Amino acid sequence: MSEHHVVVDNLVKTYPGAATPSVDHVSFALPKGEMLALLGPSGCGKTTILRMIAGLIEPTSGAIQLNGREISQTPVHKRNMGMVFQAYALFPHMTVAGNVAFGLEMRGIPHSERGPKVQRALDMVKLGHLGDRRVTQLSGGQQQRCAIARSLVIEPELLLLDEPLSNLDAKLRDEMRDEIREIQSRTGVTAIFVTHDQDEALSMADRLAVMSAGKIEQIGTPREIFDAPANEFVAGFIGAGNFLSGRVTAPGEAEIEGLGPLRFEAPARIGSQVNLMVRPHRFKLAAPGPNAFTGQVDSLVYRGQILTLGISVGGKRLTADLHTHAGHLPAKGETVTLAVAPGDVTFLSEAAA
Amino acid sequence: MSATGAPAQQITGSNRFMLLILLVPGLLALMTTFLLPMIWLARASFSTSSMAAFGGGMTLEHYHAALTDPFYWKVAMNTLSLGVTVSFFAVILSYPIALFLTRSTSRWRGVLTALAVAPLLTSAVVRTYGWMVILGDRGVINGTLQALSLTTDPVRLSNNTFGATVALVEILMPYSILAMLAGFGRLNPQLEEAASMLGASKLRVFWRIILPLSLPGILTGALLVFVLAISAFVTPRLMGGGRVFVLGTEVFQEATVTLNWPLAAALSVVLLALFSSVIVIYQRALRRLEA
Amino acid sequence: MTKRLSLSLLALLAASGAAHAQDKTPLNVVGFSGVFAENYEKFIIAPFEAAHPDIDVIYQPSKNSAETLALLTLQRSDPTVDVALIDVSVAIKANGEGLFATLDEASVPNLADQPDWARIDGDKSIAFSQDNLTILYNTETVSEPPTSWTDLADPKYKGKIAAKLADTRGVILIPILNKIAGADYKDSIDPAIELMNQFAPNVSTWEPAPDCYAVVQSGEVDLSICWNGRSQYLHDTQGGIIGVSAPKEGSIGQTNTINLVEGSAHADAAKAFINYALSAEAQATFAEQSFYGPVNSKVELSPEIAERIYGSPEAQAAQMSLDWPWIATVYSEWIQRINREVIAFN
Repeated sequence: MSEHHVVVDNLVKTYPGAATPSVDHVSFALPKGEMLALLGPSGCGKTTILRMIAGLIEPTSGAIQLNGREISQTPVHKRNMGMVFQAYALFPHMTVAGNVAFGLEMRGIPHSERGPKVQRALDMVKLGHLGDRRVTQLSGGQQQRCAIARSLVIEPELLLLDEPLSNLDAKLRDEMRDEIREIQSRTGVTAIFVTHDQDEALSMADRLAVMSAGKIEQIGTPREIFDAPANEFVAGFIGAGNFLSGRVTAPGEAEIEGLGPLRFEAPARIGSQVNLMVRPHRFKLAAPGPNAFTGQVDSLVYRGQILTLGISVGGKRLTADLHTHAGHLPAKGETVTLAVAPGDVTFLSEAAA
Repeated sequence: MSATGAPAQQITGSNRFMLLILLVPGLLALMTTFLLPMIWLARASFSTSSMAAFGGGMTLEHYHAALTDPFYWKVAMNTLSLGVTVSFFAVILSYPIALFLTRSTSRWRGVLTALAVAPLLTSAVVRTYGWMVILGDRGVINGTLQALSLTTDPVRLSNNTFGATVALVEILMPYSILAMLAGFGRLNPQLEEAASMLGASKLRVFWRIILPLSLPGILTGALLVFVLAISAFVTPRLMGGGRVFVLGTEVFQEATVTLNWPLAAALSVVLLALFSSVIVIYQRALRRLEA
Repeated sequence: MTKRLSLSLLALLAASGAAHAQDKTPLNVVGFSGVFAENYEKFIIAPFEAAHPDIDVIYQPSKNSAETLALLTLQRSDPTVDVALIDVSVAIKANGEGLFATLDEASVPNLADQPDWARIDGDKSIAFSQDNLTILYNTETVSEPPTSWTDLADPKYKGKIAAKLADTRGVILIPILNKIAGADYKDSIDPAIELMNQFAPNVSTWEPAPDCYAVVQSGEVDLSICWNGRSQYLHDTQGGIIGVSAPKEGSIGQTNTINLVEGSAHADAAKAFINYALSAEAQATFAEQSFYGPVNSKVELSPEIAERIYGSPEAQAAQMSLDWPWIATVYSEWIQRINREVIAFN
């Protein structure tokens, strides 16, 4: 247990009067220096988990350990965590430097030591020249940086970020995404952030926990989550997919209604009903053959590097992402064949017929 | 934004005209109910006729009378000190209530807010009588004290400055609560959470975050109570038992008993000057707070 | 609803039409409110109207004389009020502004029966009744009623007296107390101020609310310095809780004057009314009904009525009147002295 920096064990939060818990027996562990994304649709309980770790919400039951200490009974102001709020929550009556210095002041750090620490923190987020500004004079991105500096200057044992990018416009969001990731790995601070944006989660986190209805559906590296989703919910929530279900007719082969046989690499009992998924980028243009489906292109979206096309086969729609440098690009109305390797078919679940 | 700039400006132009037209009735009402009487009052304070008639000669004698009489200086000081005391206690008592109402997430919050300002539905005179029943020599408090054999003679709680102060504080509290609720816009639970996360205990969150951010509301509440307290005359008169001499009661006395209208007008102008200086000081303070 | 409304509107129209048909002269009288208004309408206006069917007297009660004065000042160029009943001190103020017209014995013959002191400012304001200042007591808490003004200083009344003195009450009390001290009010009022300061520590409130009668009725205080007319009325109507004790040193009346408004459109009718109001008959009736002291020198009061207005024969003999025009010159100053030298310290 103690090899992990943060351990959350069977955490439950049931609000008074609520029929079902908002957070339902959630457990996970996080090694030092890692960044975990809590990802899920709104209302899935991800923010509640973050706030329970922060100490802003009292858990109904369960344990939270930080660096080997049980902290679920520790008051907020003694937890030594940094938090970046969605709306930043900068103190409007203080300057930028005043905001950053606040945590140091609360820790009783002498005035003479505060100045250099504040300056370093502001330099780190490229606000070194704006220390004397009122926070209300800052742009959205600058406010975000100020909030990060404020939460990191206290050298927190854990950094919490609540939807840190949702208040920024698209361009700034990409910039801040890289910057937060860069700062986090430079300072080596363990971090947990909450988001509903899968791109954000995939690109920033070392690991991510996909949540639904108060439970963690799957926890793993971005790659694990994307390539081997544990269930339909995860698969549907992360990335696009062609969901195919059928009956297993032979080992590693299922009869998909309307499409015909599809081979996959997973053990499944013959006769059982399986749910399979093919990511659009796994399809390739090929000659008709096994694991290949032929149909007429009825939709075509050109996205620069990628061409997304849709074909209808036997009443089913298949979507494929093709690299635009891959030679011939089909036109609308053209008949094409899409093939997928059995190893690229994701097995989601199996049920007895 | 820039694409719609030109038409938006045109709309603003005609809007400004509409705005002016819409403002006219209000401005007229303000003129006739506020500005004209003020002008009349100012003119009356210089009148040579004791009935403050227009047209007659002008004189400074009423200001001379008001400003050279040490009694009126004392009355002005009484007025100021009553105003300061009443606003101090009204703010001290209203602040926790306003803070609670602002921060509460209870579904009863609306009801509680309504309750807190409900006393405004009854007139100050009625509530003054209420306080006379409570604080009088044969009132609730003295009755209780005597029933418990704690005192034999009634303790004088009314017909003095104490009674006037207590009643004014209670009567004016809803105003300060309302002013504070309106002035607490910058308070935000997330700021308190942010401060806690940065290591501030509850007490320090209050001193460093809640108090500074609610200061504009507190100041507005204090100013409102102060202005209402120094212009009050019914409550000081009734609760003060005639012993509380403030500018309001003096103006009333000069206007209705001794019928020296120009002097009453001059005293009112002095009171107005007192108002204005306090408002100027307040606005300076507020600007510094919010700068 | 609408039917009833239109019916009453019709009735109103009919009534005003009838008044016009008979060509009555409307006479607007503004005066005191409350019981005074009731009695005045019943015992002065009604008999006058009966004798003068061509005059329609409309009585408008006013909150106080200051308000009446404000009304008259506002309307001075085009008065709607013909006759004003106001306190003598306010009347003198109004005469300073020329608000009232001079009366003469030719058009108001009863003027001849008024004593000199009552014919104020060269017959511009005529005193018609006097309401004595007296001591009110609660009959349930006071077993031995006070008999003298000096009883107010008795320590047993500590915190048990209501005395509103920062108005005409105080101005009237000063000459009374001065006389007790053997001094003339035109010389110096220091003796009166000193006597006030002797009972001032007993005073619970200088601003009895709602008035100087109710605080006795409710038992909040034992004694109160109030006007006799209303006190007698309350004594008769409120189950005897209120007792009236006219001090033996005598008293002075709050003097009410009747005035013809300068520029009145109905001056002749007004003079006829004033003449009736000043008549011995009218004043005697009003005195008997309202316990206001009459002014007309021909009025003879029965001993019982005289006692209820002025007190014991001793007090009756000691009854005083004031040089009101002179008082008017010191009115504010006296009130100021009461405020600053008595009330402010007690």
